[in-house]
Amino acid sequence: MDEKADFSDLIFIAVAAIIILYIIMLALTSAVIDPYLHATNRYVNYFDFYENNNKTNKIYFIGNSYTEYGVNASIIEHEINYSYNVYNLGVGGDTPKHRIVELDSIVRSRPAIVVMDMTYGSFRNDDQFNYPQLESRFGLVTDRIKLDSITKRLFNTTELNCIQKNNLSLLAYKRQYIIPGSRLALANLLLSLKITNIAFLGASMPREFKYKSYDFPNLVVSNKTAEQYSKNGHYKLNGEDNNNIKTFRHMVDVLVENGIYVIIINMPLNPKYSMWFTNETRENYHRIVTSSGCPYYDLEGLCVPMEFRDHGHSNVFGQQNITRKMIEILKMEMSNASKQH
Amino acid sequence: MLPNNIDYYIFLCAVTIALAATRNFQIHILLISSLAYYFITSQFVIFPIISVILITYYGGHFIYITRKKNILLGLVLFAVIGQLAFYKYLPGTLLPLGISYYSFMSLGYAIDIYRGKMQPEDSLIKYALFVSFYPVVTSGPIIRAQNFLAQSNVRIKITPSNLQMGVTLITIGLIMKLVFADNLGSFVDPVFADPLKYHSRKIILATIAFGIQLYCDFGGYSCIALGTARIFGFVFPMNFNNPYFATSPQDFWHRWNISLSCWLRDYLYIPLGGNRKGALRTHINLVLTMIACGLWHGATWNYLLWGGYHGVLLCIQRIIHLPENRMASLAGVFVTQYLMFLGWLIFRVDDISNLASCLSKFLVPTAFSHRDLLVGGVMIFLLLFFRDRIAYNNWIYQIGSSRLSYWFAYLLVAMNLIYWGSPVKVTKFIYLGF
Repeated sequence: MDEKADFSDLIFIAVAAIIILYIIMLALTSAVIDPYLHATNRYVNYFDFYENNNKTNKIYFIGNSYTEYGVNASIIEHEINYSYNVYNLGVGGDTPKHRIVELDSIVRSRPAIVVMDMTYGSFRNDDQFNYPQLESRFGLVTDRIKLDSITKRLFNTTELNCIQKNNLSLLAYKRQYIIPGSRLALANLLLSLKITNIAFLGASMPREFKYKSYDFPNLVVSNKTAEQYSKNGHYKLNGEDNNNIKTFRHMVDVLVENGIYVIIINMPLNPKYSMWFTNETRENYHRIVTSSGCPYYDLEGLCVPMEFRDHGHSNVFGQQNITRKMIEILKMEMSNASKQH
Repeated sequence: MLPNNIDYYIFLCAVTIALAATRNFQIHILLISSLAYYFITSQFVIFPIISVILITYYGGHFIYITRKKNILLGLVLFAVIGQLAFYKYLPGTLLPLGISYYSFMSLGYAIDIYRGKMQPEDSLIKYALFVSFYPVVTSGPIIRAQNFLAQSNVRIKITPSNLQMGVTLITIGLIMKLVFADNLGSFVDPVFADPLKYHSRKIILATIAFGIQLYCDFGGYSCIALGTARIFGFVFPMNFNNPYFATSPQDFWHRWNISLSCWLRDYLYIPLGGNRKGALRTHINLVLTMIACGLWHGATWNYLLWGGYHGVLLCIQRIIHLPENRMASLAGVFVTQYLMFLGWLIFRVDDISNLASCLSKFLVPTAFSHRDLLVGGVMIFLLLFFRDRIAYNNWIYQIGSSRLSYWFAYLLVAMNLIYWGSPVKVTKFIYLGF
């Protein structure tokens, strides 16, 4: 070791190394990781959509995977003569407590109509929230999330830490995408240099949020899935308010206060699954969804078992039926919506 | 506040500054910070470590002055091992952090006094610091009382050379733990969570990966612990010495968890008679010592089986006299590591019904392609060819004492490797659970 080295040399080296590391972190994140996320990450795309979509006369369908599979927004647009731009923003596993994180962004994007597709599972008591799921959905967009004081009270400390990272934590969280980001950057470089003519995944086209692609119509319904879901106790509503119910009410209030027309729909369920819900649960559920004062449509019994892939996800036939019904509802409500808007 | 969290390093900086700023009461500062660290990290369970400190400190004094040393030592052993067994083997009890490590350290102190190898420490403060010294209290290495107490008699100086070496050890430990062990864990854990659904190739690869994960996890922790101690001026021997280049089972135990194997040799194997009572008794002593090593890890049958397995290997090695030439040495490396990784499979699979299936898949490899065999063969050849250069080169010392310009380059590469190479989800240290 150099005999003249002392503490000041070591401290200088350590500080210099930390500064250089920080510069590399920032450079690689902005040059490699962020473009990859904007090109490929679904949840980043949701917020990009909210922030950058300047179209007017927008209709948002929000809900869980029943909405994802059940609503074909392209067909709706066509059938209403393109008077509105329609978007299917369904996310698997969605609940009011998930969706309220996006509420500020939804309001700022100024849709004319929001169709809230609800199911019994929307109001499940998930105080034991799924932190990994919460983090995977919102961890990358924490700098774009704004929660009001009422919303913050609905989350515990761990949930808030998943949703609201500080800038350094967000930077560190993004580092896991360095390898796929580098792969995409390299692929795009090769493409631009015309070394290869293969278009790689992640070209910078924004998602359209029109319809969910699915595999094949499944005409065989499994009773076991329906029984399994009914026995796990998630979807029993006993009349007490939980955080999802409170969140739902707050969401509707905020949307309506901001001049957005809200339609609430009880999504179709497979009759072989629907039969397992008790009358008490059904009554409590209807009490919650109708208490908002917004137009409400109960489509629970709309579809037959042959129109479902499982307990609630529709196949191509179910999607046709549900989409047709949505068109009918929208045609009835659009005049009310335009008066309000 | 474990070494894979930023809090640990903030705490380290604070303690280092406090020690550098004071000439007096340095031992007190270290003791307070060690107890505070243990208190926070162990979730406020501090009674067991306090009781061990007091029992062995006063026990050591009484052993030294009394004529009935056997009885006193027996009482001390009973109290400490009894407490260890209570927490470790009784179902439903929460295992206090580091109890296996500080219990052995304090027992070594008492036994050394009994044997007349050292005098009892006068200062309770220094002795308490020895048992609770925070870099090593949670997962070792198991340091010897004589070594520690001798060094604690000298004023603690934070020197540039110790700082450089300490930071080098810490960064190497973090690379081993965060970059290698944690990433390998994401491949290993799903396989051993449900091993029956995987075929032979996956089981073998997962076993190899687990062996590397375990070495990097525990070796990484040891490096961090030794690096932290080095910053404070305490120099302890390395706990690992390239164990996967060992040429025989005995050589493996001279290179793996060296502090534990030496402790078992000095305080269990030799008192049992060692190799002085004939061949049969030697073999029995070896098997018993290794079973104790297995039980130290935990009360489950797979640790017992693993310990017995290593005991049998050591016995077999004594019976078979291996030739001493380079070819035999290289062949020995290959055979030894095969046997060691077989042992790791027993160590990892805690369900007996799964173990039989995994063993058959490990011992009868299938589903390997020609490419797998080619790649594996080339890697084994390269490792054996460069074995001596890697195994006998003290590259950690070379980095830690290099010129500042080279060290700066190393630090930059290491920090980038740690940042970009570590997974987002931090996993706990494996040996923390023992």
